[in-house]
Amino acid sequence: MLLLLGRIMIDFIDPLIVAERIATTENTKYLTIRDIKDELRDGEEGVSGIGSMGKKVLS
Amino acid sequence: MKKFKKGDIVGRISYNQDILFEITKIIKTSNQHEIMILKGITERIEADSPVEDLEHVDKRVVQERMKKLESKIVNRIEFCMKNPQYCISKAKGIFSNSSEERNSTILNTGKILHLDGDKRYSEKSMKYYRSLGLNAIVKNVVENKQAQVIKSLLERYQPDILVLTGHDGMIKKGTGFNDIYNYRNSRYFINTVKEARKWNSQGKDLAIFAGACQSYYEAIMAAGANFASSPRKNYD
Repeated sequence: MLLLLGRIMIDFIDPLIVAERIATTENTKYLTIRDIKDELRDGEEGVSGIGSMGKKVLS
Repeated sequence: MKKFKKGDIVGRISYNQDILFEITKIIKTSNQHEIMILKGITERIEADSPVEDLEHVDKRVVQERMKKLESKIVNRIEFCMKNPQYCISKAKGIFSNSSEERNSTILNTGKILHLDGDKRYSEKSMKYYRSLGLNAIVKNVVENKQAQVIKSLLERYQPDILVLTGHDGMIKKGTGFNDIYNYRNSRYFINTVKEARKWNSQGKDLAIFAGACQSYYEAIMAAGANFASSPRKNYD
């Protein structure tokens, strides 16, 4: 029988990777979790969301 | 009877010392038992444990795990430098030899404001952002105080990206997934996200990441985060 234990753990560095990717993505592009998931410890299972516009201003 | 004090590094016997914790608080119950409040030293997890289930961890094991954490940061930075197409594709100037190009790149990347409930993690986060040349401010603010200070920090720093982290964890596992009081710190992250969105409604398009280990993902997202942690429920 499967037992439901709790929620998944994340890596210390996962939130930093997400922030870094938003900061360095152009502000004309929409960044989704699929763009980042391969760099996170447990992919979309550890971190997810609706995504965000990039924040790098083109000059 | 084993003796523990605040600051000791311990592991849980019943979990085969899978995670190393620091004792941050000792609570004495009415029947003279001691409950230890624990925070992960290499994981963003908070937990409690009866004293009987704890044992001290060998210093060498602690050093080894800390080294592993450090190497994750170093490896990621090295990966970014070697593979700019993955992580800094549009900010190649960060690693340029020209200081002019480097400076303009830093100014052009989004500004990060990061609040972390853990002092050690705050320092490591700052080191990470600095190594990548990102424009970031990291503040060590305990989880239950983050909502109180967020407005003034947002007004002061005007960030593009807000990161809210620290420690979290489910109190009773396997039940109460939709009960906010079954999470140690998720309600503080939720309140802080809501406060940040009030500021955001004044015209700034803020991207928000919030959560730690075992956080209440759905509620943090409902509060207005763009990204949050721990969507998956674990089976064993």
